[in-house]
Amino acid sequence: MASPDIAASLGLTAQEIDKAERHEANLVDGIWIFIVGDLFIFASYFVTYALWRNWEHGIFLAAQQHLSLGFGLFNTMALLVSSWTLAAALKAMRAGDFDAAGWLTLATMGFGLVFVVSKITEWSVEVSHGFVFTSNMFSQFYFWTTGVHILHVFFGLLALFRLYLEVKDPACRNLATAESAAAFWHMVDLLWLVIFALMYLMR
Amino acid sequence: MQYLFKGRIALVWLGLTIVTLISWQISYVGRAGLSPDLTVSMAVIVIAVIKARFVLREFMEVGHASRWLRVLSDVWVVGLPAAILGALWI
Repeated sequence: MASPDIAASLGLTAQEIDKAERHEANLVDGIWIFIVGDLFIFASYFVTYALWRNWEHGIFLAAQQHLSLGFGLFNTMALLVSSWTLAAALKAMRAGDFDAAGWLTLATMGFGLVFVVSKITEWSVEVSHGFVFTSNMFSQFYFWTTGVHILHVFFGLLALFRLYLEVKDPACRNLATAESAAAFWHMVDLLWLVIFALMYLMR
Repeated sequence: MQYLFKGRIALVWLGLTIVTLISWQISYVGRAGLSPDLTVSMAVIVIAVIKARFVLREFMEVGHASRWLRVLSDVWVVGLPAAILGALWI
């Protein structure tokens, strides 16, 4: 962490400075190695997708018409709101307001579940219209990438549930665990932002 | 809920929402056409990684994390769109 002057100019709280110092002291932090690794693995999917899109542009554009921009936008908003409520939960925890932290963690899980239900509904609609995994190369990328992503959402929901239990139990509260769970959930949101652009919005 | 409006998180969320709606609108306008549109593709990818950087820096708090994390996350944010656009262009 830089000097106190720099920390003050960034508007950091004492707890955020403490976190930054823990990062400096423990450079090889497990959750961050996992997150950075996952980001680069997804990046390799995304670049492979772009290559195939270049090679089969007509097929990809035609297949893309099966996706609903409305569903895509709704799912994006659900995850963005969940990231906001989770960032607020962490602030509440750092302020020692564990009641608020609990409610905000539950709200985050609620928006995560909204995403899951919406995504499964969207898949059902697509499959009922004959758009399935084996339809073409675009559908294979789409179902695979969104499938692996929703698996991350499930693991994220488990981490949030664990976080909620810890917040409710004074003997188990641990800020480092909370920060790790939050970082994982925000990564799930971040990956969806790129998936939304690549699968739904690109032309 | 006072914590939703503590610090910059509400502002960041609002910015991310507005930019999401803009990129949705950019894509929606060109949806009817079945020919590739590299300008729309470039715009939505660049907007997506800018949003990703805000999530990394503000929500994931990478902005004041250790140096290797800040550098690697920026390598991802800059390298990903470059690699995707390169793959689309080849």
